Amino acid sequence: MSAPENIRFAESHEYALKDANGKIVVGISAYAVDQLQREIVYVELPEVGREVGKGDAFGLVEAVKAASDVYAPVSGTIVEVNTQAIDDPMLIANDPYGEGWMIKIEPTNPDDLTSLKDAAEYDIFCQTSGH
Amino acid sequence: MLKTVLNTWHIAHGASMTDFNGWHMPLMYLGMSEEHLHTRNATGIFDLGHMGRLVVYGAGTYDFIDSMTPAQLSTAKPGDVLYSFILKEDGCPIDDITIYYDNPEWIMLVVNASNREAVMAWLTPRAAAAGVKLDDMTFEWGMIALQGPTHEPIMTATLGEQFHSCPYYTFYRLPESNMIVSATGYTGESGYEIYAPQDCIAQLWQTMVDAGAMPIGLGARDTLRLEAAMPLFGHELNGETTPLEAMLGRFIDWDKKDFVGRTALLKMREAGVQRKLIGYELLAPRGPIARHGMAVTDPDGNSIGHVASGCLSPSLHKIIGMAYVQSDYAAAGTKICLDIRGRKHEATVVKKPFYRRKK
Repeated sequence: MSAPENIRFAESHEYALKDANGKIVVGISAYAVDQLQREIVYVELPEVGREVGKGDAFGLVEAVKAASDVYAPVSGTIVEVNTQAIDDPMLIANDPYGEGWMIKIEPTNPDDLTSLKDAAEYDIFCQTSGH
Repeated sequence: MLKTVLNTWHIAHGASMTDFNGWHMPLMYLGMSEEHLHTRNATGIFDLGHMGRLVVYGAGTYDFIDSMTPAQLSTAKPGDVLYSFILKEDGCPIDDITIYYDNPEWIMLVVNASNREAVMAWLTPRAAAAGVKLDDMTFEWGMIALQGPTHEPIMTATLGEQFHSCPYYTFYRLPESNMIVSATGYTGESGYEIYAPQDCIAQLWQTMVDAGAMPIGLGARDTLRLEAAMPLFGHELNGETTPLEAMLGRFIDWDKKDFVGRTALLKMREAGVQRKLIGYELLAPRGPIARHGMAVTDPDGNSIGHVASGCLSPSLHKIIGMAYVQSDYAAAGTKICLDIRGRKHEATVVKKPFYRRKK
């Protein structure tokens, strides 16, 4: 699956994508979806309004074999949650960068985004980290 | 890591591989739910090369297996398969096994990959004392399962006139090709398990795939067996749980004078078991999956047991699982709670199996 332009990735396999309003759309990468055997059976997402720090666990995705925490790639306030993904977690597996987004964050620190990996760096990271 | 003869086939066909008890095995190929449903609706094929295949033979074999297992061998006919256990003196299993009774001087035991070495260590000195031969044939023979409602034409395409259907839990040997055809499985579907020399396995597998069988990984194998409420050693069974607690007392022949573990089991049967293995369904149609070891509580939050296995059932679209609970909570319809990462989720005790195939 090809990732959108200007997307950034955390080493914990979440992506961060700035939308037209300056909000940061967050979800998990296509690589992470592959690691979850491309099947997500359950997702837990936070309430709107919660403050998160970069690296804080904000939710959880559950695959057939195991559950994994999901971490905020940037600090800020959660301003929107994808309730459709809660009802149909397979959206995350089938379209992680589109309909399968998880939350939107109003960022507090613009430098958070630049500290993340770009698509090329993330590709290399995935290939070399072996997980 | 140990590899089956099909290892390169799995990798070449895009399987996600996993370490399963020291074996490099396919976890999935196309997708676990898809593989699961294909086995229910058509036919799946499984590489079971990792399962242990032990042969006991020579004069005294019948008596030896009769004393080493609680199985009712006395009524077994040649060609019968019996589900059983290798028990310790305390009545808890070293492994759950299948016994292939060919004749009083030749019996095959199929054991779990995780326990093959423990079973060999347990049986080897005892076999020597009994004067019977014990061979580990795991690396001589391979094993393939073909499971699902449309398995018959695939069996015929593969074995030709050598194939004939046989009743559930029976087998026959094909002496010319040194193969065993067994109407057994671990999916809740009809089908066969085939044992054959390692150098025949790749061709058997390819013929079956070409005839329409879908390769199935260990991920779907687990959800299939869980829907059928079949125990998995390490989850529903372990070295501290007796078959009575696992609700498998029907596999114990109380009439035979002695077998290893009989005294302990008899005592437990008379005293009554304190905990039982139950099946449950989550009340909510969607929710998290309770995993092995998570706590089970009563509705007030008091701990009453733990989860053995859980999954989102691909066939039933419900969250199901098996758990050990105090015996008072084991009746179907009882309300229990699952403690998943600190949150309570309501569930109901239900009858097992969760899934039963149409006959």
